[in-house]
Amino acid sequence: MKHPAREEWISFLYNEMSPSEKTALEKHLQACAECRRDLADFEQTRAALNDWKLAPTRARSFGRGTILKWAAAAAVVLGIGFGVGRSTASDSREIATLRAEMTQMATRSTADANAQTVQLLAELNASWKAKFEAAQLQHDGDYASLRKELETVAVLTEASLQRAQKQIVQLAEYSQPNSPIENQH
Amino acid sequence: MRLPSLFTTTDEQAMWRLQTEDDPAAFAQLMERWQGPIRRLCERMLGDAHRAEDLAQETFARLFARRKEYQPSGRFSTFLWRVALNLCYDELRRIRRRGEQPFELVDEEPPADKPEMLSPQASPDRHLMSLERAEIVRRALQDLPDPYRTVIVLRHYEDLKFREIAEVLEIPEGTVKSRMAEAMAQLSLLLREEQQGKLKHSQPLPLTRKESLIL
Repeated sequence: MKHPAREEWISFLYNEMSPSEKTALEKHLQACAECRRDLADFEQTRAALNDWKLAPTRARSFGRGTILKWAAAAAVVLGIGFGVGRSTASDSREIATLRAEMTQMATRSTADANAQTVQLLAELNASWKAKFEAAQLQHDGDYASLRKELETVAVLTEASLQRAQKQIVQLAEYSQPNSPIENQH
Repeated sequence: MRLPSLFTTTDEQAMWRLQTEDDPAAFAQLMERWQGPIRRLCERMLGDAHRAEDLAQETFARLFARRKEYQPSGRFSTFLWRVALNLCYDELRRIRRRGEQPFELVDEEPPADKPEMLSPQASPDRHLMSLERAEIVRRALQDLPDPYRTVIVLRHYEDLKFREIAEVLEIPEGTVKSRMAEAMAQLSLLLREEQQGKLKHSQPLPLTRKESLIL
């Protein structure tokens, strides 16, 4: 008697067979005790795998807040000009402000607030990019340490989205080309 | 400025926006969708929930860093699984080189703060038994060679078709199936041995010579 290969039993076991192939194998099973035993062994192993259930995710990790903070960190990091941020007083102020806001950023709240904030971050990112487009990274060390700080913040604490939204809008206004603050050096 | 809409894009569209516009909203969307599966993959591969969380975060950091490497001709998920798996392999290699335990050993007595795996209504005996069964499976999987554990985790726990697994691992579908068959056979033995408490938890079993040639 010709027995199906192990690989066929595996396909059978995980239901990746055409109906006609399946019928052929079932027919063989009816006639072959050895293959019935082999399949039963596979079935047993498969059932055992289901015994290892993972604990549900702790709320602390990868909550909405973490995702948002990663988006924020990414947005800020992508504002390439941070490397040269130290070169002007107003830029330093902006970075310091942004840093302060980031450390206070926290989460709770609704999907809507979350979505809105992410959109605001996208806008902020775009305006930062436009502002620093021509700049080169002068101080890689600063850039690297700021980035690390942001990544640390991104996994740290939680705050209110409402406040973050307001602050983000303010920050976006700081980065407008002809804002009053920028013209005061 | 046209703002991205959050909930209607595919992974591939989000990836496109991430690549071309550095769009943080797109990145956040991908992360929101895939954080669960990636964390679970890492926990199955490493047998350690804590390390799995770190590795899952690293996966997304690396996805972000290597966003330009993704080719739109392929599925995003394939790309992401591969990033995660490679990080898992690196971590496992690192752990073994140091001679650390590849997984945390669980006491016979479950600690008070461990989450329930059965319903609270289950009797203490049954609860303990189910924890023991889970632990047996977890240990047995860690004793499997990495390539075998990989196909089992992807097929059984992440429910990928064999064809998809072949794409992720960049091997023929036939090889995936034969690897799976061998993996299940070895696992069956390991489960029996774990049950009887015979196994020491040091190195995983070596591959048969035939399998190592395939790899």
